[in-house]
Amino acid sequence: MTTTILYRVLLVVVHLTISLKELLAVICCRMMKLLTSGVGDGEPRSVPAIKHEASRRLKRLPVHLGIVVVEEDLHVVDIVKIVAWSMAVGISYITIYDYKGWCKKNKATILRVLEEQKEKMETNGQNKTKCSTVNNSNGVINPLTGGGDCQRQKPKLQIVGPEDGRQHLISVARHLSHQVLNCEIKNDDIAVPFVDAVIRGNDLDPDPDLVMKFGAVNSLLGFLPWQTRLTEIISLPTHHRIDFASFLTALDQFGYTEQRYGK
Amino acid sequence: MSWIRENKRSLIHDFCVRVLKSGPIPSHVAIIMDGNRRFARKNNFDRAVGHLRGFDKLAEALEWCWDLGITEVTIYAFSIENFKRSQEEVDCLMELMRKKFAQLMEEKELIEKYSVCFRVLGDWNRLPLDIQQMIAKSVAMTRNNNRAFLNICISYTSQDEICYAMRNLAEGVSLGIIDESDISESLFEKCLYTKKSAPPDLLIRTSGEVRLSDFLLWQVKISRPLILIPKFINLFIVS
Repeated sequence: MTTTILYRVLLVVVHLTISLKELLAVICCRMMKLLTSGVGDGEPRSVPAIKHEASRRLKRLPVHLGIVVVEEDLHVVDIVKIVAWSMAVGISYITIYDYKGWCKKNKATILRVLEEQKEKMETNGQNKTKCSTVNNSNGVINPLTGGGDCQRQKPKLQIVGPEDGRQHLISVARHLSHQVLNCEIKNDDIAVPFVDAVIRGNDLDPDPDLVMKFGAVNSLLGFLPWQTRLTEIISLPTHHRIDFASFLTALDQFGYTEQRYGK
Repeated sequence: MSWIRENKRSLIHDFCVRVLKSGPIPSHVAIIMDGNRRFARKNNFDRAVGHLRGFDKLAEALEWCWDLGITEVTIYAFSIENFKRSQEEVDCLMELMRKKFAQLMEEKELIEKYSVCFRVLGDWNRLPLDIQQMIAKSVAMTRNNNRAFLNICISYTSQDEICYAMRNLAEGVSLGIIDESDISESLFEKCLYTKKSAPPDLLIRTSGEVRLSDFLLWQVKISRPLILIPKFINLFIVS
Protein backbone atom coordinates (compact mmCIF):
# COMPACT_ATOMS: atom_id res chain seq x y z
CA MET A 1 0.00 0.00 0.00
CA THR A 2 2.77 2.41 0.96
CA THR A 3 4.74 1.58 -2.17
CA THR A 4 1.63 2.13 -4.31
CA ILE A 5 1.19 5.58 -2.81
CA LEU A 6 4.87 6.30 -3.38
CA TYR A 7 4.62 5.30 -7.05
CA ARG A 8 1.51 7.45 -7.41
CA VAL A 9 3.29 10.45 -5.90
CA LEU A 10 6.22 9.93 -8.26
CA LEU A 11 3.84 9.78 -11.24
CA VAL A 12 2.23 13.04 -10.14
CA VAL A 13 5.69 14.61 -9.82
CA VAL A 14 6.56 13.48 -13.37
CA HIS A 15 3.34 14.97 -14.74
CA LEU A 16 3.83 18.21 -12.83
CA THR A 17 7.37 18.47 -14.18
CA ILE A 18 6.15 18.00 -17.75
CA SER A 19 3.32 20.50 -17.23
CA LEU A 20 5.73 23.03 -15.71
CA LYS A 21 8.11 22.63 -18.65
CA GLU A 22 5.23 23.22 -21.08
CA LEU A 23 4.07 26.25 -19.10
CA LEU A 24 7.57 27.73 -19.09
CA ALA A 25 7.78 27.19 -22.85
CA VAL A 26 4.48 29.04 -23.33
CA ILE A 27 5.60 31.91 -21.05
CA CYS A 28 8.95 32.22 -22.87
CA CYS A 29 7.19 32.21 -26.21
CA ARG A 30 4.80 34.96 -25.10
CA MET A 31 7.62 37.04 -23.66
CA MET A 32 9.56 36.71 -26.91
CA LYS A 33 6.49 37.87 -28.81
CA LEU A 34 6.06 40.85 -26.50
CA LEU A 35 9.69 41.84 -26.92
CA THR A 36 9.80 41.41 -30.69
CA SER A 37 6.28 42.46 -31.73
CA GLY A 38 5.67 45.94 -33.00
CA VAL A 39 3.08 48.44 -31.82
CA GLY A 40 -0.47 47.46 -32.70
CA ASP A 41 0.43 43.86 -33.43
CA GLY A 42 -3.01 42.83 -32.22
CA GLU A 43 -4.73 45.26 -34.57
CA PRO A 44 -6.07 44.03 -37.91
CA ARG A 45 -3.26 44.00 -40.40
CA SER A 46 -3.80 45.24 -43.89
CA VAL A 47 -4.36 42.80 -46.68
CA PRO A 48 -1.27 43.90 -48.64
CA ALA A 49 0.92 43.60 -45.51
CA ILE A 50 -0.38 40.09 -44.86
CA LYS A 51 0.25 39.07 -48.43
CA HIS A 52 3.72 40.51 -48.44
CA GLU A 53 4.70 38.69 -45.26
CA ALA A 54 3.15 35.42 -46.43
CA SER A 55 4.91 35.46 -49.78
CA ARG A 56 8.21 36.31 -48.08
CA ARG A 57 8.01 33.53 -45.55
CA LEU A 58 5.82 30.67 -46.72
CA LYS A 59 7.07 27.81 -48.86
CA ARG A 60 3.60 26.71 -49.85
CA LEU A 61 -0.02 27.17 -48.85
CA PRO A 62 -2.75 24.64 -48.17
CA VAL A 63 -5.54 24.66 -50.73
CA HIS A 64 -8.13 23.88 -48.05
CA LEU A 65 -7.70 24.87 -44.40
CA GLY A 66 -9.82 23.41 -41.63
CA ILE A 67 -10.16 25.57 -38.52
CA VAL A 68 -11.12 23.14 -35.76
CA VAL A 69 -11.89 24.60 -32.35
CA VAL A 70 -11.92 22.03 -29.56
CA GLU A 71 -12.19 24.58 -26.76
CA GLU A 72 -15.28 25.08 -24.62
CA ASP A 73 -15.25 28.85 -24.91
CA LEU A 74 -15.55 30.20 -28.47
CA HIS A 75 -14.50 33.74 -29.33
CA VAL A 76 -16.11 34.76 -32.62
CA VAL A 77 -13.78 37.71 -33.18
CA ASP A 78 -10.69 35.50 -32.91
CA ILE A 79 -12.13 32.78 -35.15
CA VAL A 80 -13.02 35.44 -37.71
CA LYS A 81 -9.48 36.89 -37.55
CA ILE A 82 -8.10 33.49 -38.54
CA VAL A 83 -10.56 33.24 -41.42
CA ALA A 84 -9.74 36.75 -42.62
CA TRP A 85 -6.00 36.09 -42.49
CA SER A 86 -6.49 32.81 -44.36
CA MET A 87 -8.40 34.61 -47.10
CA ALA A 88 -5.82 37.36 -47.25
CA VAL A 89 -2.85 34.99 -47.69
CA GLY A 90 -4.69 33.27 -50.52
CA ILE A 91 -6.09 30.03 -49.10
CA SER A 92 -8.89 29.04 -51.45
CA TYR A 93 -11.13 26.94 -49.17
CA ILE A 94 -11.71 27.44 -45.47
CA THR A 95 -13.88 25.30 -43.19
CA ILE A 96 -14.75 26.15 -39.60
CA TYR A 97 -15.76 23.43 -37.12
CA ASP A 98 -16.46 23.16 -33.43
CA TYR A 99 -17.62 19.96 -31.78
CA LYS A 100 -20.79 21.49 -30.32
CA GLY A 101 -21.94 22.89 -33.68
CA TRP A 102 -22.18 26.41 -32.25
CA CYS A 103 -20.45 28.02 -35.22
CA LYS A 104 -22.83 26.41 -37.70
CA LYS A 105 -25.87 27.52 -35.69
CA ASN A 106 -24.51 31.08 -35.51
CA LYS A 107 -23.31 31.32 -39.11
CA ALA A 108 -24.98 34.69 -39.65
CA THR A 109 -23.09 36.21 -36.70
CA ILE A 110 -19.79 34.84 -37.94
CA LEU A 111 -20.35 36.16 -41.47
CA ARG A 112 -21.33 39.59 -40.14
CA VAL A 113 -18.23 39.84 -37.93
CA LEU A 114 -16.12 38.58 -40.85
CA GLU A 115 -17.38 41.42 -43.08
CA GLU A 116 -16.48 43.94 -40.35
CA GLN A 117 -13.02 42.43 -40.01
CA LYS A 118 -12.43 42.48 -43.76
CA GLU A 119 -13.51 46.13 -43.92
CA LYS A 120 -10.99 47.02 -41.20
CA MET A 121 -8.27 45.20 -43.09
CA GLU A 122 -9.18 46.85 -46.40
CA THR A 123 -9.23 50.24 -44.68
CA ASN A 124 -5.74 49.65 -43.28
CA GLY A 125 -4.35 48.66 -46.68
CA GLN A 126 -4.11 51.97 -48.44
CA ASN A 127 -1.00 51.15 -50.46
CA LYS A 128 -1.15 48.62 -53.27
CA THR A 129 1.68 46.12 -53.50
CA LYS A 130 3.14 44.28 -56.43
CA CYS A 131 1.67 40.86 -57.17
CA SER A 132 3.52 38.03 -55.44
CA THR A 133 2.91 34.32 -55.46
CA VAL A 134 3.04 31.38 -53.10
CA ASN A 135 2.60 27.82 -54.30
CA ASN A 136 -0.44 26.04 -52.93
CA SER A 137 -0.01 22.39 -52.06
CA ASN A 138 -1.15 21.20 -55.52
CA GLY A 139 1.76 23.06 -57.06
CA VAL A 140 -0.58 25.55 -58.72
CA ILE A 141 0.54 29.13 -58.48
CA ASN A 142 -1.89 31.03 -56.29
CA PRO A 143 -1.57 34.74 -56.94
CA LEU A 144 -1.67 37.02 -53.92
CA THR A 145 -2.91 40.23 -55.34
CA GLY A 146 -2.89 43.68 -54.00
CA GLY A 147 -5.48 44.52 -56.54
CA GLY A 148 -4.84 45.71 -60.03
CA ASP A 149 -3.16 43.43 -62.51
CA CYS A 150 -3.34 39.89 -61.04
CA GLN A 151 -6.55 37.89 -60.68
CA ARG A 152 -7.82 36.80 -57.26
CA GLN A 153 -9.30 33.36 -56.69
CA LYS A 154 -12.32 34.04 -54.49
CA PRO A 155 -11.99 32.04 -51.27
CA LYS A 156 -14.87 29.78 -50.23
CA LEU A 157 -15.91 29.56 -46.61
CA GLN A 158 -18.04 26.83 -45.13
CA ILE A 159 -19.06 26.14 -41.56
CA VAL A 160 -19.73 22.55 -40.53
CA GLY A 161 -20.86 20.76 -37.39
CA PRO A 162 -20.94 17.22 -35.99
CA GLU A 163 -23.94 16.38 -38.21
CA ASP A 164 -21.64 16.75 -41.24
CA GLY A 165 -19.29 14.06 -39.94
CA ARG A 166 -20.43 10.67 -38.68
CA GLN A 167 -24.14 11.50 -38.95
CA HIS A 168 -23.72 12.34 -42.62
CA LEU A 169 -21.99 8.99 -43.18
CA ILE A 170 -24.98 7.28 -41.54
CA SER A 171 -27.35 9.15 -43.87
CA VAL A 172 -25.26 8.00 -46.82
CA ALA A 173 -25.34 4.40 -45.55
CA ARG A 174 -29.14 4.56 -45.33
CA HIS A 175 -29.41 6.10 -48.79
CA LEU A 176 -27.16 3.43 -50.34
CA SER A 177 -29.10 0.65 -48.58
CA HIS A 178 -32.28 2.06 -50.06
CA GLN A 179 -30.73 2.09 -53.53
CA VAL A 180 -29.53 -1.51 -53.22
CA LEU A 181 -32.97 -2.61 -51.95
CA ASN A 182 -34.61 -0.99 -54.99
CA CYS A 183 -32.00 -2.48 -57.36
CA GLU A 184 -30.82 1.00 -58.39
CA ILE A 185 -27.26 -0.07 -57.61
CA LYS A 186 -25.55 -3.36 -56.79
CA ASN A 187 -24.02 -3.99 -53.38
CA ASP A 188 -20.59 -4.34 -54.99
CA ASP A 189 -20.91 -0.78 -56.33
CA ILE A 190 -20.42 0.45 -52.77
CA ALA A 191 -16.69 1.08 -53.07
CA VAL A 192 -14.53 4.06 -52.18
CA PRO A 193 -14.79 6.10 -55.42
CA PHE A 194 -18.58 5.65 -55.59
CA VAL A 195 -19.16 6.42 -51.91
CA ASP A 196 -16.83 9.41 -52.16
CA ALA A 197 -18.97 10.85 -54.95
CA VAL A 198 -22.16 10.28 -52.95
CA ILE A 199 -20.71 11.89 -49.82
CA ARG A 200 -19.60 14.97 -51.71
CA GLY A 201 -22.77 15.35 -53.76
CA ASN A 202 -22.37 18.52 -55.83
CA ASP A 203 -19.49 19.73 -53.70
CA LEU A 204 -16.28 19.57 -55.72
CA ASP A 205 -14.15 21.14 -52.99
CA PRO A 206 -10.89 19.36 -52.25
CA ASP A 207 -10.39 17.67 -48.88
CA PRO A 208 -8.71 19.74 -46.20
CA ASP A 209 -4.95 19.35 -46.58
CA LEU A 210 -4.33 21.21 -43.32
CA VAL A 211 -6.25 21.43 -40.06
CA MET A 212 -5.29 24.01 -37.47
CA LYS A 213 -6.64 22.61 -34.23
CA PHE A 214 -7.15 25.11 -31.43
CA GLY A 215 -7.29 23.80 -27.88
CA ALA A 216 -5.64 21.39 -25.51
CA VAL A 217 -7.77 18.36 -26.42
CA ASN A 218 -5.68 16.09 -28.64
CA SER A 219 -8.49 15.07 -30.96
CA LEU A 220 -10.45 16.47 -33.92
CA LEU A 221 -13.67 15.50 -32.10
CA GLY A 222 -15.56 14.30 -35.14
CA PHE A 223 -14.45 16.80 -37.79
CA LEU A 224 -15.27 15.37 -41.26
CA PRO A 225 -13.79 11.88 -40.68
CA TRP A 226 -14.12 10.78 -44.33
CA GLN A 227 -12.47 13.90 -45.73
CA THR A 228 -9.51 14.07 -43.32
CA ARG A 229 -7.76 10.85 -44.30
CA LEU A 230 -4.62 12.67 -45.47
CA THR A 231 -4.98 15.95 -43.59
CA GLU A 232 -1.96 17.39 -41.80
CA ILE A 233 -2.85 18.40 -38.26
CA ILE A 234 -1.14 21.32 -36.56
CA SER A 235 -2.15 22.06 -32.98
CA LEU A 236 -2.20 25.50 -31.42
CA PRO A 237 -2.91 25.99 -27.71
CA THR A 238 -5.86 28.35 -28.13
CA HIS A 239 -7.67 30.63 -30.57
CA HIS A 240 -8.20 33.24 -27.82
CA ARG A 241 -6.24 36.41 -28.68
CA ILE A 242 -4.44 34.54 -31.47
CA ASP A 243 -1.86 36.69 -33.18
CA PHE A 244 -0.86 36.74 -36.83
CA ALA A 245 2.68 35.53 -36.07
CA SER A 246 1.36 32.27 -34.55
CA PHE A 247 -0.96 31.75 -37.51
CA LEU A 248 1.90 32.32 -39.94
CA THR A 249 4.18 29.97 -37.99
CA ALA A 250 1.60 27.20 -38.31
CA LEU A 251 1.35 27.78 -42.07
CA ASP A 252 5.14 27.82 -42.27
CA GLN A 253 5.22 24.45 -40.49
CA PHE A 254 2.80 23.05 -43.04
CA GLY A 255 5.20 24.05 -45.81
CA TYR A 256 7.74 21.52 -44.60
CA THR A 257 5.41 18.51 -44.49
CA GLU A 258 5.69 15.87 -47.16
CA GLN A 259 2.88 13.65 -48.39
CA ARG A 260 3.88 10.25 -49.74
CA TYR A 261 0.32 8.95 -50.42
CA GLY A 262 1.37 5.45 -49.41
CA LYS A 263 4.21 5.28 -51.93
CA MET B 1 12.77 -11.78 -33.71
CA SER B 2 9.83 -13.42 -32.02
CA TRP B 3 6.30 -11.95 -31.87
CA ILE B 4 6.34 -12.39 -28.10
CA ARG B 5 9.49 -11.58 -26.22
CA GLU B 6 10.28 -12.83 -22.75
CA ASN B 7 13.35 -10.74 -22.07
CA LYS B 8 14.49 -10.07 -18.55
CA ARG B 9 13.52 -6.56 -17.57
CA SER B 10 16.01 -4.13 -16.13
CA LEU B 11 15.40 -2.63 -12.68
CA ILE B 12 14.86 0.80 -14.17
CA HIS B 13 12.32 -0.60 -16.63
CA ASP B 14 10.47 -2.37 -13.81
CA PHE B 15 10.50 0.76 -11.68
CA CYS B 16 9.13 2.94 -14.52
CA VAL B 17 6.39 0.41 -15.22
CA ARG B 18 5.32 0.38 -11.57
CA VAL B 19 5.19 4.18 -11.47
CA LEU B 20 3.15 4.37 -14.68
CA LYS B 21 0.78 1.61 -13.63
CA SER B 22 -0.13 3.55 -10.50
CA GLY B 23 -2.00 5.96 -12.77
CA PRO B 24 -4.54 5.50 -15.59
CA ILE B 25 -3.42 3.24 -18.41
CA PRO B 26 -5.12 3.12 -21.82
CA SER B 27 -6.76 -0.21 -22.51
CA HIS B 28 -6.52 0.11 -26.31
CA VAL B 29 -3.64 1.75 -28.15
CA ALA B 30 -3.46 2.21 -31.93
CA ILE B 31 -0.08 2.57 -33.63
CA ILE B 32 0.77 3.84 -37.12
CA MET B 33 4.09 2.21 -37.85
CA ASP B 34 5.83 4.80 -39.99
CA GLY B 35 9.40 5.65 -40.84
CA ASN B 36 11.02 2.28 -41.66
CA ARG B 37 12.36 3.45 -45.00
CA ARG B 38 13.63 6.76 -43.64
CA PHE B 39 15.33 4.86 -40.82
CA ALA B 40 16.98 2.55 -43.39
CA ARG B 41 18.12 5.52 -45.51
CA LYS B 42 19.53 7.34 -42.51
CA ASN B 43 21.54 4.30 -41.42
CA ASN B 44 22.54 3.14 -44.92
CA PHE B 45 20.51 -0.04 -44.70
CA ASP B 46 18.50 -1.79 -47.34
CA ARG B 47 14.75 -1.02 -47.18
CA ALA B 48 14.14 -4.68 -46.37
CA VAL B 49 16.32 -4.31 -43.29
CA GLY B 50 14.42 -1.16 -42.36
CA HIS B 51 11.13 -3.05 -42.42
CA LEU B 52 12.62 -5.93 -40.44
CA ARG B 53 13.94 -3.55 -37.81
CA GLY B 54 10.50 -1.95 -37.76
CA PHE B 55 8.96 -5.30 -36.92
CA ASP B 56 11.55 -5.88 -34.18
CA LYS B 57 10.72 -2.54 -32.63
CA LEU B 58 7.02 -3.39 -32.84
CA ALA B 59 7.62 -6.64 -30.94
CA GLU B 60 9.48 -4.62 -28.31
CA ALA B 61 6.63 -2.11 -28.10
CA LEU B 62 4.13 -4.95 -27.66
CA GLU B 63 6.25 -6.18 -24.76
CA TRP B 64 6.05 -2.73 -23.14
CA CYS B 65 2.30 -2.68 -23.66
CA TRP B 66 2.00 -6.09 -22.05
CA ASP B 67 4.07 -4.94 -19.05
CA LEU B 68 1.89 -1.86 -18.62
CA GLY B 69 -1.38 -3.78 -18.79
CA ILE B 70 -2.47 -2.43 -22.17
CA THR B 71 -4.66 -5.30 -23.31
CA GLU B 72 -5.38 -4.31 -26.92
CA VAL B 73 -3.10 -2.91 -29.62
CA THR B 74 -4.08 -2.12 -33.20
CA ILE B 75 -1.27 -1.58 -35.67
CA TYR B 76 -1.31 -0.16 -39.18
CA ALA B 77 1.06 -2.55 -40.90
CA PHE B 78 0.21 -2.33 -44.62
CA SER B 79 -2.14 0.10 -46.33
CA ILE B 80 -4.02 -0.55 -49.58
CA GLU B 81 -2.16 2.58 -50.78
CA ASN B 82 1.14 0.78 -50.18
CA PHE B 83 0.40 -1.47 -53.18
CA LYS B 84 1.40 1.59 -55.25
CA ARG B 85 5.01 1.13 -54.15
CA SER B 86 7.53 -0.52 -56.44
CA GLN B 87 6.88 -4.21 -57.15
CA GLU B 88 10.23 -4.98 -55.52
CA GLU B 89 9.21 -3.34 -52.26
CA VAL B 90 5.72 -4.85 -52.27
CA ASP B 91 7.25 -8.30 -52.84
CA CYS B 92 9.69 -7.65 -50.00
CA LEU B 93 6.84 -6.72 -47.65
CA MET B 94 4.80 -9.75 -48.71
CA GLU B 95 7.82 -11.95 -48.02
CA LEU B 96 8.19 -10.38 -44.57
CA MET B 97 4.53 -11.16 -43.90
CA ARG B 98 5.05 -14.79 -44.95
CA LYS B 99 8.00 -15.17 -42.58
CA LYS B 100 6.28 -13.51 -39.67
CA PHE B 101 3.02 -15.43 -39.98
CA ALA B 102 4.97 -18.68 -40.36
CA GLN B 103 6.87 -17.72 -37.21
CA LEU B 104 3.59 -17.04 -35.46
CA MET B 105 2.41 -20.57 -36.21
CA GLU B 106 5.67 -21.95 -34.76
CA GLU B 107 5.25 -19.92 -31.57
CA LYS B 108 1.85 -21.39 -30.82
CA GLU B 109 2.80 -22.47 -27.28
CA LEU B 110 4.13 -19.05 -26.33
CA ILE B 111 1.06 -17.36 -27.76
CA GLU B 112 -1.21 -19.74 -25.84
CA LYS B 113 0.79 -19.07 -22.67
CA TYR B 114 0.03 -15.36 -22.89
CA SER B 115 -3.37 -15.97 -24.44
CA VAL B 116 -2.89 -13.45 -27.23
CA CYS B 117 -5.64 -13.20 -29.81
CA PHE B 118 -4.46 -12.16 -33.28
CA ARG B 119 -6.90 -10.48 -35.61
CA VAL B 120 -6.08 -9.28 -39.12
CA LEU B 121 -8.19 -6.37 -40.33
CA GLY B 122 -8.40 -5.38 -43.96
CA ASP B 123 -9.34 -6.54 -47.44
CA TRP B 124 -7.56 -9.90 -47.53
CA ASN B 125 -8.68 -10.49 -51.14
CA ARG B 126 -5.96 -8.12 -52.37
CA LEU B 127 -3.24 -10.28 -50.83
CA PRO B 128 -1.54 -13.32 -52.43
CA LEU B 129 -3.52 -16.50 -51.76
CA ASP B 130 -0.82 -18.18 -49.68
CA ILE B 131 -0.68 -15.17 -47.33
CA GLN B 132 -4.46 -15.19 -47.02
CA GLN B 133 -4.27 -18.85 -45.98
CA MET B 134 -1.52 -18.16 -43.43
CA ILE B 135 -3.50 -15.28 -41.97
CA ALA B 136 -6.63 -17.43 -41.77
CA LYS B 137 -4.74 -20.18 -39.93
CA SER B 138 -3.18 -17.68 -37.48
CA VAL B 139 -6.49 -16.02 -36.73
CA ALA B 140 -8.25 -19.36 -36.29
CA MET B 141 -5.46 -20.66 -34.06
CA THR B 142 -5.74 -17.77 -31.62
CA ARG B 143 -9.44 -16.93 -31.81
CA ASN B 144 -10.26 -18.22 -28.31
CA ASN B 145 -7.42 -16.37 -26.60
CA ASN B 146 -8.60 -13.47 -24.48
CA ARG B 147 -5.93 -11.90 -22.28
CA ALA B 148 -4.47 -9.65 -24.95
CA PHE B 149 -5.57 -8.64 -28.44
CA LEU B 150 -3.37 -7.66 -31.35
CA ASN B 151 -5.21 -6.25 -34.36
CA ILE B 152 -2.99 -6.07 -37.42
CA CYS B 153 -4.29 -3.86 -40.24
CA ILE B 154 -3.09 -5.33 -43.51
CA SER B 155 -4.39 -4.29 -46.93
CA TYR B 156 -6.42 -1.74 -45.01
CA THR B 157 -7.65 1.80 -45.35
CA SER B 158 -10.30 3.37 -43.20
CA GLN B 159 -12.37 4.53 -46.18
CA ASP B 160 -12.35 0.95 -47.49
CA GLU B 161 -13.46 -0.24 -44.05
CA ILE B 162 -16.31 2.29 -43.99
CA CYS B 163 -17.45 1.05 -47.42
CA TYR B 164 -17.26 -2.54 -46.13
CA ALA B 165 -19.58 -1.58 -43.26
CA MET B 166 -21.96 0.15 -45.69
CA ARG B 167 -22.08 -2.98 -47.88
CA ASN B 168 -22.87 -5.12 -44.83
CA LEU B 169 -25.69 -2.80 -43.83
CA ALA B 170 -27.09 -2.66 -47.38
CA GLU B 171 -27.08 -6.46 -47.48
CA GLY B 172 -28.88 -6.57 -44.15
CA VAL B 173 -31.57 -4.24 -45.47
CA SER B 174 -31.86 -6.21 -48.74
CA LEU B 175 -32.35 -9.46 -46.84
CA GLY B 176 -34.94 -7.90 -44.57
CA ILE B 177 -32.82 -8.45 -41.45
CA ILE B 178 -32.86 -4.74 -40.61
CA ASP B 179 -34.73 -1.65 -41.80
CA GLU B 180 -33.02 1.42 -43.20
CA SER B 181 -34.12 3.30 -40.10
CA ASP B 182 -32.21 0.82 -37.93
CA ILE B 183 -28.91 2.08 -39.36
CA SER B 184 -27.35 4.11 -36.56
CA GLU B 185 -23.83 4.94 -35.38
CA SER B 186 -23.81 2.02 -32.95
CA LEU B 187 -25.01 -0.46 -35.59
CA PHE B 188 -22.50 0.95 -38.06
CA GLU B 189 -19.69 0.30 -35.59
CA LYS B 190 -20.80 -3.33 -35.34
CA CYS B 191 -20.22 -3.69 -39.07
CA LEU B 192 -16.67 -2.34 -39.14
CA TYR B 193 -13.57 -4.57 -39.06
CA THR B 194 -13.04 -3.34 -35.50
CA LYS B 195 -16.47 -4.47 -34.31
CA LYS B 196 -15.00 -6.55 -31.47
CA SER B 197 -12.91 -3.68 -30.11
CA ALA B 198 -13.62 -0.59 -28.09
CA PRO B 199 -12.35 2.62 -29.72
CA PRO B 200 -8.64 3.30 -29.15
CA ASP B 201 -7.82 5.48 -26.15
CA LEU B 202 -4.52 6.58 -27.63
CA LEU B 203 -3.17 6.84 -31.17
CA ILE B 204 0.57 6.84 -31.69
CA ARG B 205 2.38 7.60 -34.93
CA THR B 206 6.09 6.98 -35.10
CA SER B 207 8.39 9.18 -37.19
CA GLY B 208 6.87 12.56 -36.33
CA GLU B 209 4.23 13.02 -39.04
CA VAL B 210 0.92 14.40 -37.76
CA ARG B 211 -1.84 12.91 -39.87
CA LEU B 212 -4.04 9.82 -39.81
CA SER B 213 -3.22 8.51 -43.31
CA ASP B 214 -6.59 6.77 -43.70
CA PHE B 215 -6.32 4.88 -40.39
CA LEU B 216 -9.32 4.38 -38.08
CA LEU B 217 -10.95 7.64 -39.23
CA TRP B 218 -14.30 6.65 -37.69
CA GLN B 219 -12.91 5.10 -34.51
CA VAL B 220 -10.53 7.87 -33.40
CA LYS B 221 -13.22 10.47 -32.79
CA ILE B 222 -12.25 10.74 -29.16
CA SER B 223 -8.80 9.13 -29.22
CA ARG B 224 -5.85 11.19 -28.23
CA PRO B 225 -3.31 11.28 -31.02
CA LEU B 226 0.22 11.42 -29.75
CA ILE B 227 3.17 12.07 -31.93
CA LEU B 228 6.41 10.49 -30.87
CA ILE B 229 9.94 11.55 -31.23
CA PRO B 230 11.49 9.55 -34.05
CA LYS B 231 13.17 7.07 -31.77
CA PHE B 232 10.43 4.99 -30.24
CA ILE B 233 11.18 4.67 -26.55
CA ASN B 234 9.21 3.73 -23.49
CA LEU B 235 8.63 7.30 -22.39
CA PHE B 236 5.70 7.63 -24.82
CA ILE B 237 3.41 6.21 -22.18
CA VAL B 238 4.21 9.03 -19.75
CA SER B 239 1.97 11.45 -21.61
